[in-house]
Amino acid sequence: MIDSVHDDKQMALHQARMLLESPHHMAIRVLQEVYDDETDKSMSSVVFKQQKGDEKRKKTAPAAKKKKSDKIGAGATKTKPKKKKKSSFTRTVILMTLALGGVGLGLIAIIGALISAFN
Amino acid sequence: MNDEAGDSGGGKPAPDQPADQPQGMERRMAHRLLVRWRDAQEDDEIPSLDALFRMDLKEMLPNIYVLKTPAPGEDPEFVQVGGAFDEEGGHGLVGATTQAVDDATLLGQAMRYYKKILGKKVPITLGGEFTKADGTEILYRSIIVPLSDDGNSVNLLLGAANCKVKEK
Repeated sequence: MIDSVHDDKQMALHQARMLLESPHHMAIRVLQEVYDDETDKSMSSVVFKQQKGDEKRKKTAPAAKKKKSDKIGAGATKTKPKKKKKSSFTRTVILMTLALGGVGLGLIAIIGALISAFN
Repeated sequence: MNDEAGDSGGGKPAPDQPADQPQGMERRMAHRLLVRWRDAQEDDEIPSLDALFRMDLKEMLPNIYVLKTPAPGEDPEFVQVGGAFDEEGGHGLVGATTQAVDDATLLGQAMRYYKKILGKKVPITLGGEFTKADGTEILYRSIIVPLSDDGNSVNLLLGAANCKVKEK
């Protein structure tokens, strides 16, 4: 439903905000129509759009977003140490295997050397 | 002439404006008339002339004119013309059609878009500038609101306009 038509954007926006404050309107949209003489065509675009409660939502939205980003942050910190832990554990296992392998190889080499010395 | 026409609506009061007067956009006559028109509405219906006049229009009355909606193909007829349009004929225009008004006048400019209101059935505000016959450049603001006796079909149009000489 069109409420009114204005040639002045400021006036249209002012009316929109005023109507939104009234109890009769739930949502307001301001359309800008630009007419081109040369092409005989007009272009419409939305320059203002608001629904009752948007303000409240907007006010709470950053907090929710923060909370969400906080959650993401928390998740990330949780995941990262896990990854780190897993990788350090793997590294430790690999290092231990290598070390044990090295010790084992060393022992085999010593045993081999002792056998050849006795022979 | 009224200097409201040149107000940018930016919220700064004119230096000579009393502190208790509405400022910025609220000071614009078109805005004030629109507010009164909405106040006169019942259930989103188009208000009647009586309902609108029951609102406080006192300070706007000199700038107001009323047109009777024409039959298809005819021109609207003046029912009331305020003192601000004395140059154009003022009260003497009552009973005459819009054809009697010169385009290069405030009234001529202010009512030239009346057909749009008949089509859309909503208030329309329009501002601009024009050059009077004597060469004076004028800035104006205007509004036309539809009025109805049955809440739906427009039988009257109420317009208001004010202007000021363009500063060079």
